[in-house]
Amino acid sequence: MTPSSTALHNRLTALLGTDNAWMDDTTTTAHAVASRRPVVVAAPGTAEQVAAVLELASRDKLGVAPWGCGTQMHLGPPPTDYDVALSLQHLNRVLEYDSTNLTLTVEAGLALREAYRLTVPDRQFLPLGYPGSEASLGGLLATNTSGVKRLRYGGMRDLLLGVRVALPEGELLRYGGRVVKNVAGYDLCKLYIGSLGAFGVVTEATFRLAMLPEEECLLVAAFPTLAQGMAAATAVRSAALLPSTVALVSSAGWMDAVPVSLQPGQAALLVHVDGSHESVQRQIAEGEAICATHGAVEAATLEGEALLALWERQEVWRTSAPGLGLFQVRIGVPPSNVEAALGLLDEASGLCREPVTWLADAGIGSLTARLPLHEHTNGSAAQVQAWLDGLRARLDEQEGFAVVESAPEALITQMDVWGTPPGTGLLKRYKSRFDPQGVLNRGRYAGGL
Amino acid sequence: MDINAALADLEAVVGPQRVLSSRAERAVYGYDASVFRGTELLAVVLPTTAEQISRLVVWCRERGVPYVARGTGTGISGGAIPTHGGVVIELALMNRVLEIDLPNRLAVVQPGVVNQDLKQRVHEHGYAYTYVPDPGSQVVSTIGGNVATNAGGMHCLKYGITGNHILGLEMVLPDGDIVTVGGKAADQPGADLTGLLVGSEGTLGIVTKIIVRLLQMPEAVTTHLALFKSVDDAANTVSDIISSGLLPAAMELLDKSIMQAVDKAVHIGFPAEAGAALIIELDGFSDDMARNADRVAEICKTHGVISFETEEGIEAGQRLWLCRRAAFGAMARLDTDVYIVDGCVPRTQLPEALRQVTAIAERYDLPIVNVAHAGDGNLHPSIPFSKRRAGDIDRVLKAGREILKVCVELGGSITGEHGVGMEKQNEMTLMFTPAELQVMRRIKLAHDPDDLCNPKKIFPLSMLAEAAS
Repeated sequence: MTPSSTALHNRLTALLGTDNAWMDDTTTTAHAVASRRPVVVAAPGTAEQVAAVLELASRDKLGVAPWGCGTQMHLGPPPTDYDVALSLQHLNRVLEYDSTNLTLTVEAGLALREAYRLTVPDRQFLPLGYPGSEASLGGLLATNTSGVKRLRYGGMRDLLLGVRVALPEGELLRYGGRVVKNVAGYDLCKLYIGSLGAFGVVTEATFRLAMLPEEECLLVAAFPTLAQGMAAATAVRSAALLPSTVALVSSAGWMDAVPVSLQPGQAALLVHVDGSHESVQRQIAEGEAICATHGAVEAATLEGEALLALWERQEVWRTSAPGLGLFQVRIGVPPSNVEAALGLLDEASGLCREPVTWLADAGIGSLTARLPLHEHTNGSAAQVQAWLDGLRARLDEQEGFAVVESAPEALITQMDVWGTPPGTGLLKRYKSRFDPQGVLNRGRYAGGL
Repeated sequence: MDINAALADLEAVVGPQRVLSSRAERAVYGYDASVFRGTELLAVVLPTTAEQISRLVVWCRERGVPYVARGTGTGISGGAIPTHGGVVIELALMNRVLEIDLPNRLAVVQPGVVNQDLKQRVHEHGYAYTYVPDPGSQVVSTIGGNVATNAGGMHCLKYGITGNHILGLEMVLPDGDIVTVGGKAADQPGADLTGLLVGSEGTLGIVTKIIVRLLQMPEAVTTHLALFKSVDDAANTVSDIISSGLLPAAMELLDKSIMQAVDKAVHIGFPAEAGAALIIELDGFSDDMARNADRVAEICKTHGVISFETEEGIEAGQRLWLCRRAAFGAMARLDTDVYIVDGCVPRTQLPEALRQVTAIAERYDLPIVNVAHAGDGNLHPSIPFSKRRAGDIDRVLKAGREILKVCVELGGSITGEHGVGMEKQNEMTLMFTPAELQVMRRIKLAHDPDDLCNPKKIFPLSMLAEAAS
């Protein structure tokens, strides 16, 4: 049933109090997913209110899309039913910062940069992204976003200890806890990592923190060819070093932030290390030697503000909303197949008006590629889908996958964004038991859920 | 059920040599390392492929026969005990290391591979990499069993528990489907199903293939044995080491009672005034070792350390590890049986938890000894007792439950690394509300609506009885 907007607005206001539900054009436009606007934007102030909104939606079979800070709302197709934008902007409190036990419990709407602001004075941090990140922790959790230091500090699945979650039928539940070792019952926290809110809305989460390193440094080296850069990356990974990032970047994109000059077709290697002064200096020296051996034409190191600025440029490049005709895909492969996966991107050149730009994490085996589509391919879902199908077939052989991270609306609504992730059958079984009415993010998640 | 016909069916799936059905054979599979016993079985089968397991579970499902997957039976919570008869699916023959892929830092193994054997196989390729998780049972327990319980060990503070080292699984679901979750590529789209299925104690399906992560061996290792006057001094040292910014690979604590038992067993010669021992293992770059060891020594000093010994390298370190590694053997000398409690608290609550354990020991007149993975707050109060003495087991279980209650009250968990199994089903209500348990049960029902796959475990018995009626 589609309610009249005024009736729905009134009911949500009754639940949440005045000024916490809006139906004006400005607010609904600000919460559009692609061009689809919600009927009402609701901003609960407590976890209980989140549960109450979901219960109402479940009863009336409304479609709800949860919002954190909105940095990754372009992921997935827009919701097929979008009655309520459930904004977590008011759920941004720090509930407990236990610095002696290195844990942090926060509400899901808190931005990662606020977590940095809180913990850095105690020389601790939550290693999920760069310190200025405007993404909410709930959003990072729902999209399984792990940040540039994953190789050394672990990803979301390693750092999340507990969640409080509101289910579509109005239950408010806690899973996991505040200790690292806790194996009581099924680890339901993990169901909420990367599931785009399909099984419930996380209202608070507990993370383990890491100690800030004494020193950190980024080595950047330019290579005449991708093959040479890749060989150097492999050598760095095989050496007795413990880098937190080993990544390659293409010549275009955000490379103007990188202090080496690159020609088209060339690639730069980024090696980030942190730890004690002695270990950082030694690792940088060994990294420089490896790069020189593998034919680097130029190298530089970055620290402090310059290093932060580079991470910020990278984050903006990776997460910015899709511009006109921009198509972004994330590819995962076992790390030794990164070079082959990059080779597959060549086949997209026919679709593009400019060269594809990319960032490849050679330590994790994760690639982000941006395709500036030709105007005539821009609207042709069939053409882009055919390329994507071919890519997925080739990646299958390499035990990899591809996910569309953002695309022009004309494409994303008609394309297979997620592919068929392993375990899709299980996800469908869970969905029917956790959200039988299909209230949450209808049509946005893997398996057509 | 026609027993002979049933056995013939099972033999048709796995072959005649691989169905055990004599009375003695069935009896020995009613045990594991816990204090519990199972019920009469139909048979034990030893499959060699996922396809055979799929056919077995379909056969069970069609007849309403319960089944339990089993590795080497080292679990101490009764997780692998058949409590409702049926079939035990023994995975001992599925013990092949399928792949060791050093460039991608991973290995693919079958569930019956013994933890220590995997480490040895990896080291055949040189000592640059290793599989890290090291539960105390590692020389016997299987990777499949470690996955089922999400096993811990000594090095979780720095390196995490088993689940952090599992990249993907192949699982036979109770309807016979063979599914894959996760994989060799990280961050597959969709929920972290690998993380959800690890630690499900064999109740959601049978794992038939496991992709594990390998890590680089540290360049340098030092081991330190510090003796303190009291548990409080040792525990405060642990907290201060961590807040100083150091992240030791391991920090293990022994209290006076277990030190005395160990001394009797392996003659360490602890001084009389020592009330607690702390084993600290540091690893990392050789450049950092001397300075980090000095910082640890300094922090120990501020807490009145009685003695502080250091060994360099893994081999030499074993001398200092001896008192910890000998602990469970030493307990075996105290009485005919030992009951190990597996609570976990936030690290800083460890002294308070151990004080309350002592009070509980006095109240129940039980000789509780304590070892703890102090770095991560996982305590193992251990109670020597005898099954042959009337009343012992009841008292021991009651004391154990009280200890778990304390752990939950202090912000921790009823199980840090050994699982719920049949031991702590009722204690689940200390951690979860009825609504939380009901929703957790939706996962079980999504996999196994007939409750045949390691049935009636994990969830409180009262809840299961209610669901059945």
